[in-house]
Amino acid sequence: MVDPAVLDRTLETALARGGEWAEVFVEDRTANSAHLDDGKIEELSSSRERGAGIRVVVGDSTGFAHTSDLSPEGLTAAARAASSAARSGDGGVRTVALEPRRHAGSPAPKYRPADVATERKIEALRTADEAARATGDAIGQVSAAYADSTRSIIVANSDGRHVADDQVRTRFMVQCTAIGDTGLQTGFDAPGQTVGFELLERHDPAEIARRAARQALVKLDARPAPTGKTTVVLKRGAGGVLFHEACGHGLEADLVGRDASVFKDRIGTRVASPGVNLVDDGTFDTGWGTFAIDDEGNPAASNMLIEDGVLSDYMWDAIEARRRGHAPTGNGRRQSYRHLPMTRMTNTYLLAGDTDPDDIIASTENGIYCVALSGGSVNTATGDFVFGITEAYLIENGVVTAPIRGANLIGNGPASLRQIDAIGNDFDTWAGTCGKDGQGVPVSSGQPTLRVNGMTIGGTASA
Amino acid sequence: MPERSHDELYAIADALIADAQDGEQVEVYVGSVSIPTSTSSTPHCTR
Amino acid sequence: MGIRVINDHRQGYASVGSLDIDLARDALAQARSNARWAAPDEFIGLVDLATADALPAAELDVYDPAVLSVPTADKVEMAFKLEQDTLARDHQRIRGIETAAYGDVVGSSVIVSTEGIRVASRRSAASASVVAMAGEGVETRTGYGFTVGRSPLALDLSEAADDAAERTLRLLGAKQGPSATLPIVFDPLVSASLIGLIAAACNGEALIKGRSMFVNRLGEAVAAGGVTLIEDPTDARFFSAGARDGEGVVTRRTELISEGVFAAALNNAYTGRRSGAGTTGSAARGGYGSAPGVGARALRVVPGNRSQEEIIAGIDQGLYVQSLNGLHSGASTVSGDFSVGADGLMIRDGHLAEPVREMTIASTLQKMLLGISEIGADEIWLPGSAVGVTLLIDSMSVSGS
Repeated sequence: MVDPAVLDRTLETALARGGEWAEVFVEDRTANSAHLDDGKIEELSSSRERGAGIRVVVGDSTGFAHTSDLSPEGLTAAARAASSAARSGDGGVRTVALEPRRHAGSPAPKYRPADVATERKIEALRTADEAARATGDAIGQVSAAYADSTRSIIVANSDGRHVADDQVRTRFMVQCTAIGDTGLQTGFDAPGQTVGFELLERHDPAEIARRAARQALVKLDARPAPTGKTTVVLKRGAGGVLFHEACGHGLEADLVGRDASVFKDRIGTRVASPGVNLVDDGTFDTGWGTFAIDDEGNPAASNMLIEDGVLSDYMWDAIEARRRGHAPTGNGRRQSYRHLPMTRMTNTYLLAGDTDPDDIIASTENGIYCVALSGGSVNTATGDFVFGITEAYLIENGVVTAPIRGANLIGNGPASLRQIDAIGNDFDTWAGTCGKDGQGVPVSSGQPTLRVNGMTIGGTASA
Repeated sequence: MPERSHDELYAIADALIADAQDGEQVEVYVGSVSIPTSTSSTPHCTR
Repeated sequence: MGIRVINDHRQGYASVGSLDIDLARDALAQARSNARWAAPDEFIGLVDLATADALPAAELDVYDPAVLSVPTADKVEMAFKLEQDTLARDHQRIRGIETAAYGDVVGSSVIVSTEGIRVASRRSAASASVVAMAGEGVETRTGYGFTVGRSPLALDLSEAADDAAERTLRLLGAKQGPSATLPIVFDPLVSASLIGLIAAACNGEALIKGRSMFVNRLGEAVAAGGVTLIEDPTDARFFSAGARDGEGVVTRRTELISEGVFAAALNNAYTGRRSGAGTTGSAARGGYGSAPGVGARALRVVPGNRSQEEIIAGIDQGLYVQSLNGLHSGASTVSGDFSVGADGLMIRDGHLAEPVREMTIASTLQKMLLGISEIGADEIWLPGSAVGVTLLIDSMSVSGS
């Protein structure tokens, strides 16, 4: 995309006004999607984003500029803008010697999106539509989408780092609406991985569609959720976002550094029940949040955050790590070359324990069994978080019984982590988009079946 | 990024419209939006 | 830029984040190729000039050149000043600032089509916001303050600092309250997002595709009789105001709900043709990355005539909601299910009383709309697409300890 000599000169320009550290991030991203709705292939859409973002750090201040012009002149202009945005210093010339680094690279797709015939994408959408409609007469509307993205990045910085990576992701989404006497209900499923078209060999579109359809149908019979304190059993995969919200965001070093996390100054202390092991792993197989190098050029890693209930470390981006004298952990990510990187999660997993999931349900007298959820959010400064359940059932006397309507569960991160009292020996993951300060990045979360006591459920049925 | 004048944006759009083929409708939207720097304080996740 | 190609009633789309003409031509070719795969739909087609210009376009003054002429250093200084001002409101108890931000945006765009559309727009907005923190550890409470204008010169930092400090400090010592069924007073900052949800159910695209709780309910009472909901992008008080929509059609005032009755849907050219109602100038672009959809951008509930204080004075026991958490995961405009986390203050004997946290409030959007028993006189113009106003809903399930 950009010649190393040009990157070199761009960094020199960026440092010419006395910057301490500079970085060029080059990105070329191509994305394609196809959308079926209302029984018809509605639209195919393509996008291309190509450009560079340049950062210059002087003390605590960061200058940033971005450009879609990758010519030497375009990069020079952006480098000048970034250097003047950072507080000006002594000036002078600094030479940067880039050392290209080799690394294993992000997972290589079996079928690159560009090599897949459009017919196959469309056929998958039709398959999903038919399968969803065949699931039940009450299915009124089916929307299905296929999306792939191919992202090539180059990162070069004034430490001499020079790395490149290609990241290919594919996702398939189905949303169904079911119509019943009590109104409309929706069901949704959307697996995504860092792979090419082989996603659909791993996840049959018809099966994705049936899961979404069944979820909508089940909810037609759902009764109002209860109110007040309850015991929550989270099915494997479904509740990973609980940890993403309950503590993941609070363990991002930039928020800790701003004194906006309840987990500040807690390293080495007990923050969760014994047996709770939480890891953020950007190298995990072909996870939705997997990559070889982060958007600051640091290799992704498997980082233990909580070990047997004790907080072991935060996640770090390059700037916050530099500020605090910590090694970066491969968690510096950005939505695009137009955005500044921040500390971000990748694949955040609570590791499996040794209890049979069936025993967890059987030993729960009364509570809620959560099978699917819609997402959540957290105030990291207070630790208060919520997440929405989209498919859940009552547990009565150790048995899963009636479905309940959508509701939010609310808790406090540090409290909920200590209220985990059973961890299953199974495991599954969930793909989503994590938003922070207006930037969205692909992440996954995962967990075994587990039980949390004392969460508050926001239903409408009297307790 | 410097803001582009409407004339510049029209010039690009007009060039593409001129490439439209017979019987084809083409619409070009050209926007130059500066990136808002205001931030939301609450991280959140959606599927 | 974004390019839409329609051939034989089949639509394809492509975008490119650059003004490079070669990349733009690639995108045009890609959009053309994408169009071949879409199913033909007789209602697909670009809007014609007569439809786009069916009404005179509003003359709006929504751009202030000061947004660009004020030096960047001064803007950065505003964020620092807001931080210091907020801390200074109570050095003892406000222990830190989570974020203090200044932001501005100049949106400049043109739309040109083979059907004769040729329109341009330019808009500016500037805002500064701050989140203050008080209290230690999990007892920390946060509160938000903001100020918004067409340029940095229009901002009132002092007001933002006051709001953030007051909203933070009044929550100090909050505990989880008991579960109950209570009347709920929504603060204007919160009600704006509720109003946005109601408008989403009036979205013509959602209605056509059966994904709205208002499907087949046109002409029916869907809200309390005092509720009139208006979408009006020609009202220049909205920071999102504009004379043309995302397809170049003139915008106009549309009453979505008239005295409680679902009166009209929002439509773009496609949904307007398909539903037979015609476009309302509501084509919405979420950037250039996708073809225009349908969306509200300037929503207002006709205000009542009492202040928030007067409304609260009439309530024996209730909950005043200062902030909501989890709206995007807990509210569905399809089923109407509503269950959201809330922080705020209890209302006792007509006054704000002790603060509460970690509560949820739940109902259905349908019941909430019918239960709006009072609308405040206190309109607040926000950076988003809806005006905030105090709302009283007569009864919701509150869940806590």
